Amino acid sequence: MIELDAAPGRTPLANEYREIVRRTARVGCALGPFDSSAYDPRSIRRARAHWRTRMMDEYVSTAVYSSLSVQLLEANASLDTNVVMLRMAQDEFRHAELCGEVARALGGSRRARRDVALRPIPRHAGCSAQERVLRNVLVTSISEMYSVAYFVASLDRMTDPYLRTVTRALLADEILHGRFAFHFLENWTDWLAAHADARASISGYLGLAFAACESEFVREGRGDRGDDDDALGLVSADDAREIFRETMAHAVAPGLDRFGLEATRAWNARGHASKLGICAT
Amino acid sequence: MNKAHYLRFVQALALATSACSAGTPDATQSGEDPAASVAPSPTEPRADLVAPPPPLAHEDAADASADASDEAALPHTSGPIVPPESVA
Repeated sequence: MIELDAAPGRTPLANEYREIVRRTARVGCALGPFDSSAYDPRSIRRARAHWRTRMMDEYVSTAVYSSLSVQLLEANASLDTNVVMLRMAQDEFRHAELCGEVARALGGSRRARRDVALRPIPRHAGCSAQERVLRNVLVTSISEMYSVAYFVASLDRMTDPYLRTVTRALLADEILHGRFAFHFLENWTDWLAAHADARASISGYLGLAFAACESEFVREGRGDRGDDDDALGLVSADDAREIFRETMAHAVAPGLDRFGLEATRAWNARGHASKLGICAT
Repeated sequence: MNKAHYLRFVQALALATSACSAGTPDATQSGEDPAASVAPSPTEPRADLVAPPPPLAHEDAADASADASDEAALPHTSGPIVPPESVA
């Protein structure tokens, strides 16, 4: 059971945390009041559910990045690479706090619990330390590139000033998270060029990676819509599906192809990977 | 939906990492793109953290069971997923 109270206290450690936040924030996030009376209560409720879910998703996902730090060490990745990885792990905690603040503004609680056990990130038996971490890093950036696209689409609709401020702050970090694998691949170009077998193996894994991300992020069905969903930045299920698929097909896969990976082919074959029952979701 | 907007944005992220690494301005820092607001501003005070807004009267008053149902229906929203295990 994972429990979260996304309201830092007033202890010395909490003060240290605030100082870290102050020094690492990419954008200011001075929040004014949120005027709940301006919106359809159904939309408020839906937005509250969304931000509370996001609060826990962000909080739990820090474990992915912190676990990847260990695999980066095993792969002898550069010191700077690992520091950035740990920054991203911290970002997820900060995001959880911000999302909790939004949940509170929307009439909800910053406290939540989720009945899940944290799963370790895979070690991909038979892979070298380098290929292992590459596979896992690629999945995180595929995830986060969708988050970037989702946040941009959300901002396109969102008119509420309070939510726009928070969303821009999250987007500022998600851009780094989405880019990370591409920067990592740039650094490892020579290694990839020298390991054709690993490129082929990673390309095969990407089909599974795309299928797993699609399974996690995409829901079928239309869902209800409130009158003010757009103003609050709630993207419809139809649009979210399209955003995911367009982003993968026209941004992520071509970007990975550039490094000699067969990502577009993997994207097109993801259904086959999924039918093999190899999604770990 | 302004599909071209977000697609142009994420394509720029995926395809222009070299330019970004060299410090060249890219699509995330120009024009009316949402990322124009993403420019670093380390000196701007985090007023929300320095002085959190007072709790609203309705905090914790939401219908918890309805909220839980709404939350359970949502897909993963953000943050990296746990990578899938390879097939032997």
